[in-house]
Amino acid sequence: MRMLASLRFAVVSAGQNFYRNLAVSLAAVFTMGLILLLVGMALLGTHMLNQVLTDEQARASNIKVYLQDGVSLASVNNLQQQLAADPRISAVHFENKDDAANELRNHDLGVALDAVGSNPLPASLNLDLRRLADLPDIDAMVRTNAIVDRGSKPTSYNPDVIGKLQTLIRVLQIIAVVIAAVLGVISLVIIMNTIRTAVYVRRREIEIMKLVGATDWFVRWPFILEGVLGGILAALLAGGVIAAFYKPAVSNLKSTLFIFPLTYDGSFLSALILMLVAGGGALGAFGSYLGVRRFLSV
Amino acid sequence: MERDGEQSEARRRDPLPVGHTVSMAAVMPRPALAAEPQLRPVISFHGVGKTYPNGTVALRDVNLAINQTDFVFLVGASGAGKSTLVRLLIREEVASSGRIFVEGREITGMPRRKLPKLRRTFGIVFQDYKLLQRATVAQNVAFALQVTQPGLRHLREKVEEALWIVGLESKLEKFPDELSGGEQQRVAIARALVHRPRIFLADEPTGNLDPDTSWGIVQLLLQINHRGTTVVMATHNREVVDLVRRRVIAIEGGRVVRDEIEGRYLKEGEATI
Repeated sequence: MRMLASLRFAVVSAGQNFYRNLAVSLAAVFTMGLILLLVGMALLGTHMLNQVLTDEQARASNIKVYLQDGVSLASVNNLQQQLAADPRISAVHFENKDDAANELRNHDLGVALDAVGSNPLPASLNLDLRRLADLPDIDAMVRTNAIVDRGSKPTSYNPDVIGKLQTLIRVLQIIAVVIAAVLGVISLVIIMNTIRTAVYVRRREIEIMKLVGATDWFVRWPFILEGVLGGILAALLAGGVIAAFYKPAVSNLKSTLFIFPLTYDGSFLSALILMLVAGGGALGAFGSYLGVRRFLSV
Repeated sequence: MERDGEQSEARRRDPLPVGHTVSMAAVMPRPALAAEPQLRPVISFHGVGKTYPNGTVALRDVNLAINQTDFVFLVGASGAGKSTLVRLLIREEVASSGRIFVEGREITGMPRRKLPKLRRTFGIVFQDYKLLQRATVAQNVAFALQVTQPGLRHLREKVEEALWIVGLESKLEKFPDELSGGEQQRVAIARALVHRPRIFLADEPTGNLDPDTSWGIVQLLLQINHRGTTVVMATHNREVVDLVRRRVIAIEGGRVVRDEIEGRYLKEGEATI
């Protein structure tokens, strides 16, 4: 009964205090909202980058092993089975000369092919690798096989492009982690100071509560609930802005940065808003807890 | 406005409806009977000293005992140590040496978690009233009950009763800045009274008030004492102390220099300007 009454007092006080100190409360919400917007944008940016990199990685993890013309189907089958058994390879697909020609035609290069007259394209085994890093080894391994084309280009592997892509991925991932960490620390400091200012305005109230015999937790709860309320409102504000601009931004970037395959990810947006709400609430609660602690030593 | 029957009955039974009329019985000192059990000390200081971190010595070797029926004036110049003594009692400060007992419990080494219960023993008023400016008179008084006794029934009635005692029953919905200084101090007294404390501490309660209003506040405290509550009042108000003639404990330079049962603000024959 007393617990319930204390909880009710805390909830009612939190609401009342938020409303009575509306200017300070709104200032705290907008500051937190701005920070959460930056954090949300950084998270969304990292996600979009990851999307692009995953896509690039998937594309780069394919390798075509070109086969000599006229080799027996049995020997191709044999190599196909041997490669499929390799744990580093996730899929092996045989592409005959006609398939290769059709693919070229799909890329609007049929005219060039028709000009040649016959089909000069080799048949190939197309491999999907699990990890980009295994490409050099697989490439070296298949080159030694007797049925593989001994011409100038036995496989589609290009060590320059793959090496650069791997370096780019590593650098971008480090940059994303650093940005997220710096933003995280900055937001924590700013949010705590904002809440501390809001609590400072009400230090007299805390002093009175302590003097009439309130326990530390009885004093804390309304402030913590108020912090959670402010944090959630700030997160909804930030989430709303991100939700409103995400789709138009993706279509806009798609047309200007056409080399990057950007896509709108609705499920990530929902997860991001949930993350912001949970994070905002937790930050608000933590900031209030620390903010009140200074004034509880009465 | 007509109140419910239960409350009217309570008031009829009340020997002295405080805040409205004051009888001489309340003002006159009562005889001290050593045999009365209520004369056991409710507050006692044993060799108490207080030195602040900056080196200022606020109290030195203070020994005193205050009984349940006592009305005590703590007098002395600014910085003599009166407020420190009050702050030590509510454990806003911790004594540097010696021992302090409140209702038989030693409070000097009391753990923090027990302080809320200790503070509920007291009703406390300050010179600056310490009211919540954005809350109404009724909300300010109710606040003390909501904090100390959450879920209490008949909250409104208890708040109205406390405000009736201090004569402010018609100003329930006013805000502090709509009241005079004396009225604000009465609200603070109602807030300090509403949970029926056994000890009432007043730190310069008349410091900001004119003589007439001050006298009204002191009458209120006398009547609270008459109801069986110990009252300790730190004050500079010489007129009030000399008129009331109750126990006076004088502090100078952090030491108790005088303790008289029916004392005056200054010692007999002490020079004044």
